[in-house]
Amino acid sequence: MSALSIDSRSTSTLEPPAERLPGETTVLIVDDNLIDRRVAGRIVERQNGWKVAFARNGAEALLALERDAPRIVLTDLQMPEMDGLALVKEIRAKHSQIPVVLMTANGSEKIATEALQSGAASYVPKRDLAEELASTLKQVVAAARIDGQHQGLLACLTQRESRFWLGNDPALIAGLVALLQEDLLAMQLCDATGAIRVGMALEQALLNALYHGTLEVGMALRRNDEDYFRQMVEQRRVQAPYRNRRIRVLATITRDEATYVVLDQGPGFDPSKLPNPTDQENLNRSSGRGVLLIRTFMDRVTFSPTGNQITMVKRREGR
Amino acid sequence: MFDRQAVLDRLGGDEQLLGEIAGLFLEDCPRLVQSMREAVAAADAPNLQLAAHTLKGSLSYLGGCRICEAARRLESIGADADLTGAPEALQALADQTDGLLSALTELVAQPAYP
Repeated sequence: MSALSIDSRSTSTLEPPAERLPGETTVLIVDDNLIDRRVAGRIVERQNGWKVAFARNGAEALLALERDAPRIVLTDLQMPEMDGLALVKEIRAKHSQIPVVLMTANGSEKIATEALQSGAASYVPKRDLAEELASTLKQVVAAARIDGQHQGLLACLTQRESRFWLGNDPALIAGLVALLQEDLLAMQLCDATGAIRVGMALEQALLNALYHGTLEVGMALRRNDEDYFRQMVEQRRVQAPYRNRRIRVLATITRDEATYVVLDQGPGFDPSKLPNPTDQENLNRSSGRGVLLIRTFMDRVTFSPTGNQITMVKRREGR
Repeated sequence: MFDRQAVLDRLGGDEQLLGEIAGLFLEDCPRLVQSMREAVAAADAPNLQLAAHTLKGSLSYLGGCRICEAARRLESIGADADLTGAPEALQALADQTDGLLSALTELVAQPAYP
């Protein structure tokens, strides 16, 4: 087992403040509908330090990728010329370090599912753009900020097992995710897109362990009342029994696969009550998105019967 | 027909954005309905589908369930390439958009924001 300390510069991924992002973040918004572009563009422009570029379909988006050098792409699915699914595949082939977020709507469930399996990093239902878009983009940008400074050394690594006991500080999650992503790339288990997606899944699992498990503050509360949610989090972090709970993370990575086990010491839940992962209707709702992303981005996902422990396996991508 | 508060909620309470997209819709909607009429007359299923899809997207912000459903119906008629029910479905949609357009014309003429 290696002794690793967690990067102390890491920021909270619950909602990393925009001003901490180095430089300007350009978001490329791809949609054939002018009104959709305006609504999404307006939400992005209101974020500090964020800029917008627009494209009307996948073909225009590919040109804009060269011209505007966006950090992230937000795309509609059904478009003339080149649709969102084809765009996701093109970006993965040519710009695998640029994450793609989908905008979903009624009628686009099938193509959205395919795009999520092909390389997209997350999705936002169009009807929830006002509440969910900014936080989702920030979360994905954070998961795409992969540090490559140890790549030369890590290329010599053949197997690594790491064990972490985390307290209840949300600020540690981003650093741990980045560290685990770096191992994944060093072991060449996947491309940059794959590492972004595993990062998204790990982050969701850790956020669940922290907010649902350890602190017992539901994410639904966050959607309804952000201020009250934050207040509850700060209160419970120093209050018994919540403050005594720890999150254990076990990461075992070999040249063939990575296995992640996240355990929390909260009361647990009944995993059979989770939304049915094969129901494509879930893509039009924001609730349950975390588990859906985990199941899509990992190759095998199991919960312990009490729900406190999730095991996720990512196998080497054949490419 | 036009639920101002529901629309505003979807836009995060942004009155200015509401005024802006209402203006865009007022320009766009009659043009799209017209191109659907032309597509139905010319039995051009792909263009009917495209125009209905675009209108459905815009309506999802400003319209209610019923009017979105009317656009969705035309979109699937276009996708199935059987235009038998198209004239009737188009008339139903046009009747509903007329009501929405008057409400939005009023909204743009008398903005609630300073």
